Amino acid sequence: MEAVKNNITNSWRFRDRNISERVRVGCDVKPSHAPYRKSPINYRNIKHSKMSAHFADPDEGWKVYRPTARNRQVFGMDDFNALSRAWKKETAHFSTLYHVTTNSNYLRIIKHGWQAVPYILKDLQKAPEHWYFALKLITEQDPVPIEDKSNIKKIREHWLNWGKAEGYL
Amino acid sequence: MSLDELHEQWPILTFFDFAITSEPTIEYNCVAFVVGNENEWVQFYDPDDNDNDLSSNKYVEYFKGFGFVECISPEFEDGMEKIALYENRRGEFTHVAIQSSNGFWKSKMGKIEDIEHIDLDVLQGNGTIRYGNHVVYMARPK
Repeated sequence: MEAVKNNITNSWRFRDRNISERVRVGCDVKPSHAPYRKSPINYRNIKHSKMSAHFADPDEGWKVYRPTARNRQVFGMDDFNALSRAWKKETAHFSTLYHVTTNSNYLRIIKHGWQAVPYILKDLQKAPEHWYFALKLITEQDPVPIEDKSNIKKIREHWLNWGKAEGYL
Repeated sequence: MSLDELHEQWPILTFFDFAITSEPTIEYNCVAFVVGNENEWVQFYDPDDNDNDLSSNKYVEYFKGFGFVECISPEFEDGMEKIALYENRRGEFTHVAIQSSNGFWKSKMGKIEDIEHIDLDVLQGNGTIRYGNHVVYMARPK
């Protein structure tokens, strides 16, 4: 898969020029230099996408990636909800925090850093969850005293109070 | 978690009778459940510590503090209360179940419900994502 992409992206200038040519003359001949393409090229996308990159996916056919909000890594509420829903489902039966907090969806949320903090606190407001490892790692703060470390209800209270004090809630 | 979701996680449970004996709660985990503590999530994992012992050693020490001693078999014995610790194939502690007075086993499944199951084997599963195998048994007089 990587080899295919590299092979194609290395010669994208040549390919793009040929595609433009075909669009201009209205010719819809299958190009012989794209053996991996399964679906027809969407010319409408290509002729308007001067800044976009073209990739061939063996499963999906040609794709045109434009610089959209998603490509710029904006972490929205929907992204957070999708990741947290998957995390909760995959780790619901685990009793060990190591297995709960090393789930890939949980780590992806942590990866977004401070962008994730308001979403985490809002989720914590709805119900207690094992969010305190993520909050501790992102904020590098720990408002929970040692005597409350294993009490999920109190941990939640401490973090919600912290969120209010910091202006997130 | 619904019954369907539970069956999805543990397909083997579809072949055995088991009973859901509580509401789902995150307030305690299986470790606290077997020592009768329903207010704590007992865990020994510290993300700041690079040398975490993920095996069942720390849990064995913890249960010794409640009068349990290691034994060789999970077989029912009158007058004894037994627990069984699970480890996955990487040797990481994953779960502990306690034997009830009728010889069945009770488990608190993470943050979902407590269940009563007839056998320890029904909670075995894929070693990486489920509980693995029951490897350590402990007992104390009732």
